[in-house]
Amino acid sequence: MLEAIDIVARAGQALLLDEVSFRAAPGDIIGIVGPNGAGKSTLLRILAGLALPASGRVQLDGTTLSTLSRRERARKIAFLPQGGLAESAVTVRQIVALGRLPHGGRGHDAIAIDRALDAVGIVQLADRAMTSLSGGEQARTLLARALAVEAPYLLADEPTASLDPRHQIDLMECLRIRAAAGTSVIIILHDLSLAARYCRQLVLLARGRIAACGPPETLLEPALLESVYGIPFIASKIGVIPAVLPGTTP
Amino acid sequence: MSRAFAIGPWAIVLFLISVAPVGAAERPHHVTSLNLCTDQLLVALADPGDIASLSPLAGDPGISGIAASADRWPDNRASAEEILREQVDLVLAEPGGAGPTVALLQRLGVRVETVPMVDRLEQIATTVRQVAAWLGQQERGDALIREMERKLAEIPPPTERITALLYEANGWTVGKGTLSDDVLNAAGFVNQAERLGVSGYGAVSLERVLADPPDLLIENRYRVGEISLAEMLLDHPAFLHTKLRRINIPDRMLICGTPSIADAALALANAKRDEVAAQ
Amino acid sequence: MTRTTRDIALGLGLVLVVLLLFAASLALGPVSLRPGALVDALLGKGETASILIMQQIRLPRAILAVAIGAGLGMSGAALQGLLRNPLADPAVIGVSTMAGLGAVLVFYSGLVVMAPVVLPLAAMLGALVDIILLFLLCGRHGGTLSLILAGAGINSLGASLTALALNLAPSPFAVAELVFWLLGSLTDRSMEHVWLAVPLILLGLVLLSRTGRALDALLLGDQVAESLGVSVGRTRAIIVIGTALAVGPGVAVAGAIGFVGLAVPHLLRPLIGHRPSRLLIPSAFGGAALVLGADLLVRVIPTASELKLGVVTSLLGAPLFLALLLRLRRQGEAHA
Repeated sequence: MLEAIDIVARAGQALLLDEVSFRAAPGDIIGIVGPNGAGKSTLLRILAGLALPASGRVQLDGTTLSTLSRRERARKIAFLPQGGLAESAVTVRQIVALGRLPHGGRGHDAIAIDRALDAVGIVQLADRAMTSLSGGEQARTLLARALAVEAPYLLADEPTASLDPRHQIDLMECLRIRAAAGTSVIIILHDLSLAARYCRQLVLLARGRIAACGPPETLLEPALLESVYGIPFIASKIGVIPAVLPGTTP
Repeated sequence: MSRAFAIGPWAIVLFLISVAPVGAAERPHHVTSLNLCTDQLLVALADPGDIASLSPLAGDPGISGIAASADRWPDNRASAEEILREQVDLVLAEPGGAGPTVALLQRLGVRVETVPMVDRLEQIATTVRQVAAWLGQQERGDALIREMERKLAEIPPPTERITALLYEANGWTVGKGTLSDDVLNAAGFVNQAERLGVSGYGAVSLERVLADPPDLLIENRYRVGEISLAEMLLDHPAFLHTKLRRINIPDRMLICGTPSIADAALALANAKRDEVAAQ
Repeated sequence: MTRTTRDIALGLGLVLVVLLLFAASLALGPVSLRPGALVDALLGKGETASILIMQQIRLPRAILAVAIGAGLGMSGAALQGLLRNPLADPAVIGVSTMAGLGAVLVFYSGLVVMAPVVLPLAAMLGALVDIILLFLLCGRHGGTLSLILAGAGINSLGASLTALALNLAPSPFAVAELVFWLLGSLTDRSMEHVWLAVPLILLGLVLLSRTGRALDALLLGDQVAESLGVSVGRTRAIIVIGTALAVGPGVAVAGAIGFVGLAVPHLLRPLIGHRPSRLLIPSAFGGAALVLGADLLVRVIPTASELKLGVVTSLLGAPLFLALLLRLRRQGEAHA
């Protein structure tokens, strides 16, 4: 259980997060959504233990996160931020292998790496240099790196940003499989339809506060969304697939 | 400091040209000198009141033998303006030094005499007589020369073969055809530089010196106690492991070809005597 | 050939090259010695003169070449990993120049007479000042352009201040020695210099060699590296101090030698791969080989006045630097 308890975060005078609390249990897929500047990335970083809140705390399986050793934390939480990596001709396999660093020893590293490559569907790219890959391929490699950590908690900041629709679906399916196996996934998404489709729980963050928290159906209410985003929304279902679209009614 | 000029034949030509009828002319009373060696000749030959200014080098105890008394006269910056303003009636310069300034002064009608470079011991007398003639101090010139020759005659002829090497910053030394070489010979040494492959001015590597060391290493330092990488070579730890005997002779004693060079020769001759006694 | 076999072969190859160049460095000099006499002299047997030449002149020179080259090579590899920039090099970013400034201030002012160890310490201080200035000017995530500009600026400043210090120094030889401090030389270095520099350089090498894991993680950026358990701040501090140790003392005794830290990792990457951790130790050997080789060229090429070591390494490294700049520009344009 990864728990955020009354997290307050500041940047100078500005209040980034105002007493945010929620929890993620094993097997959950939790989507954090909200407008730009709502504090989503800040919250994710604090949950990952990469930043300290001004007040409040994060608990991991009952222990305060900040009291864990670096290595412990690295083994328990895998973090995948936005943005790529520096220009480097390192191979895909070598990048994915970096996910094994928290685990130190040789052991079952090769197996974990192969599993991660397979889960993301880039086994055929394993020996290619990163600089020779497309943006989407690079993004998937970075995801594989995060999967290779095989941590019980996987935190990702807009991992679908540079992916085409097919690979977006592939990525979300991959995360669903992981969650089914017991990993707890917390993911920031801008695409509300995707979030509604895959996340069991959504956290709607607006101006540093939780505007709503719960299953997608309760959250994706046009009135609520309009009050948070400032534009009208249409929420519907196409078959079983939810569709949440911004814009005016024709 | 070392110089590397070879101006022998030039000097003779100059001398011949400048031995013009001099006795009839008035003695100059306002003489300025632009270089170190001319400074020292000027101070040795002229009346103090006739000296207008000296070069700044004259006051540097590292290279000047007259450093102590040099502050009696002002420094000049070898600028034509200054010299014109002081209404100097004779400028003593060295060949090659302050070329444009000298040319300008001559064009403006100031009397500039170029004192030939002294590369060899035997040229000193000639030069002294020449400068003395320009200054109207022939008697003093002759007296200086006599004194120099007397001191040199004090040195006994060599009975043993003792080798010496003059060693300066950055490993520079002097071989045949230089003033310092003549002084070494006059003092009774055999100059090791030739065996080490140096004639004239040249550098010799530390390895060579260690492989074929002289009996006596004569350090020629600019100023003792001053720090530069160049002079650190003289303190290389390798020397600590040799049985090489060393003495120090200050730069100022060998730099200029003036009659006081005899003092350098005497000092070296004494060192040689000590060296023989030690062996 | 499997990868491990290839790695071992490569490693042995590098060590062999260094040993050969070391031996050649001992065998070369103004005085020619028979191989037999050479070895004897090295061991302290035979003619005193030969022993002195071998033990007091050639041996320290060769040892310093190895140590200084190793320091430059490894710090170049580490800096390129830390700054995530292929153009990073202790000389390009100004470490060598500022270290030289520190050394010059202490040397010509006479402070060095108090305790010889002050010299390498002052150089290390200069190196630290440089890196601090660099971070102030570029921030932690400065791109290539800002890094090069900051480095050029600091180099200019450092060189000018060094020239000024030499102009004001009491000894008249000082001004001519600017060439030594800015371009480096190993001529007539002694065992004293070895004791002053080598232990500190070794310490720097040890520190730097332990940052491999962290450098690999940094490929993914500061945040991911932290999430993998790496302390980015601590890594940065270790590399800064390690570089000051690995480069500073070398500059203090032999002047600034440029481009070794730039060229060696680039020359080794095609053979070893691009992971920073695997480049560290081979770059040390590569750097040793490069400096030994350059010093051999210095002694073999006949020139009227001594050819400076830094000139040779620059002739090798500067074209490489320009080629890299061009390649980066082309890549930048391709992505745009």
